[in-house]
Amino acid sequence: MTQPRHFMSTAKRAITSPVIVQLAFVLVMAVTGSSLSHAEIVNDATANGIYNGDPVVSNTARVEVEVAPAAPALIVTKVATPDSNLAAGTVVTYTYTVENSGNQVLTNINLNDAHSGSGPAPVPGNETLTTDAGTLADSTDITANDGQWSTLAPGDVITLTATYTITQNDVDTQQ
Amino acid sequence: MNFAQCAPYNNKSLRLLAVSVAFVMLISSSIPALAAVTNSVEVKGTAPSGPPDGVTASANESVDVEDDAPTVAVVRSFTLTNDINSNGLVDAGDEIVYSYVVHNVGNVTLQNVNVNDVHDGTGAPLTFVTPTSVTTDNFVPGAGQQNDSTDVGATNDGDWDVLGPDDFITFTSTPYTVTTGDLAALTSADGDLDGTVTAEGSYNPGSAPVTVNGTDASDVPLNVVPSLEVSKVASQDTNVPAGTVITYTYRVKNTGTVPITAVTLTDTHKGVVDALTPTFAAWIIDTGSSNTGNTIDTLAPGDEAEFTATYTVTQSDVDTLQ
Repeated sequence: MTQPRHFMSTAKRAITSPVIVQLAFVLVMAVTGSSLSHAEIVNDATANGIYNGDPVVSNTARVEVEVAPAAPALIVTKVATPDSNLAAGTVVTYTYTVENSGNQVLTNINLNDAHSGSGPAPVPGNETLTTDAGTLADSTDITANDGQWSTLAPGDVITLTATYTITQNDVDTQQ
Repeated sequence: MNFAQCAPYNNKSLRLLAVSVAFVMLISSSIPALAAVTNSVEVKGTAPSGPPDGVTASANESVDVEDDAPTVAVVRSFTLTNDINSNGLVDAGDEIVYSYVVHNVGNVTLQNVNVNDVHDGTGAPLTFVTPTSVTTDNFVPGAGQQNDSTDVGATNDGDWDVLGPDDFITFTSTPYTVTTGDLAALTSADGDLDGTVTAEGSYNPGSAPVTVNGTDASDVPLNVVPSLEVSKVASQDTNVPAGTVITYTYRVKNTGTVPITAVTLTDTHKGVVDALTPTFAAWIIDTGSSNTGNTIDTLAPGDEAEFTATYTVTQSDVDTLQ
């Protein structure tokens, strides 16, 4: 008994490209007081007055406001156009969105697309800010079109694109 | 001749007994004497052939008494007669009564003895109660007199009529209620209620009366405690995301016993923003305090003011304060 040929034909492989977003974000520990534990905004209130010509100083009332714990997170999406029944020579455009879904400002965001095609891998570039949530203009990019976004604030989204040309080998082997 | 005839100034027909008494008075004096106690002794005899008392002889001798030295002293003390909060200290609202022990420390009898206490209290003026009896009736046996201090005139008229040497009487004041002002505007650096009491008496040696007085400036220690206390709460203090507006509420309270002036509140903010500016919001307790804007001009004891400030948590706070 032989394996049905149609099995292979229906198991035609897709050209896959898992995307990995890499980032480096800077944590600066602001140590402003000996008793200051992290994640707190500390302030000390003091009242001053005068009695009989002499200064009167109150106690120091301290309140520590604990900011939300660091939760850096990114969400990446990818869409290929076109994405079906592609002949050799077809140029596929990948559109990537990267959202800062956490609560901290992220820096140096790189997008790496591990492409399974046989041709030159798509290189994400043309990074642009497509959603500027919250505080405006708090996400910036130092060098345009280098595939790296410099500073991405929470809620903000950048979009990158890349192209890939289907090779004959892809058509030959990815069946 | 009886003993009464031997009194000083009687220079007629004294017996030797009188001389000896005068001599005792002389040696009991350590002060050079000018005033004289004089006496003359006359001896009469009858010669066998002469007339009765035909032989006479006399001798004069005088002894000096010490100079008059009218002197009076007074010592002031006080008693806490109404201690509102039972702390044993003199606070505003408490009631004190002064005692003035007047001592005739001189060697002559004083008359019309009175006291006057001009203390620095800002409350009702003091008036004084005349004692009804002598406090201490000292006397020297054989010299000083007992029961020589009397108030024979009207009672409680401000004057004690006769005060013998070394005797003591005690005036008192009417109750004095300590005022907030007494603690607010001290006249002494040590926080005491100062004052000077003067005791006065007169001595009449026969010519113009001589007025003598003594003073005492012992003070009443007031319970002076300047004290401010600040408390603070934040409207949200855990898990605060960027963009959250935090309202800080402050209470400034005078927890001392004296008014505090020119009270200001500062908040050293150790987030990314350096400082907050608390704004006066309301009086929580106001029994006589006042403010001008964010400055409390006067914060009375026990009074409490509320301030507020807001701060918006920045993204930078969340980024860096981890």
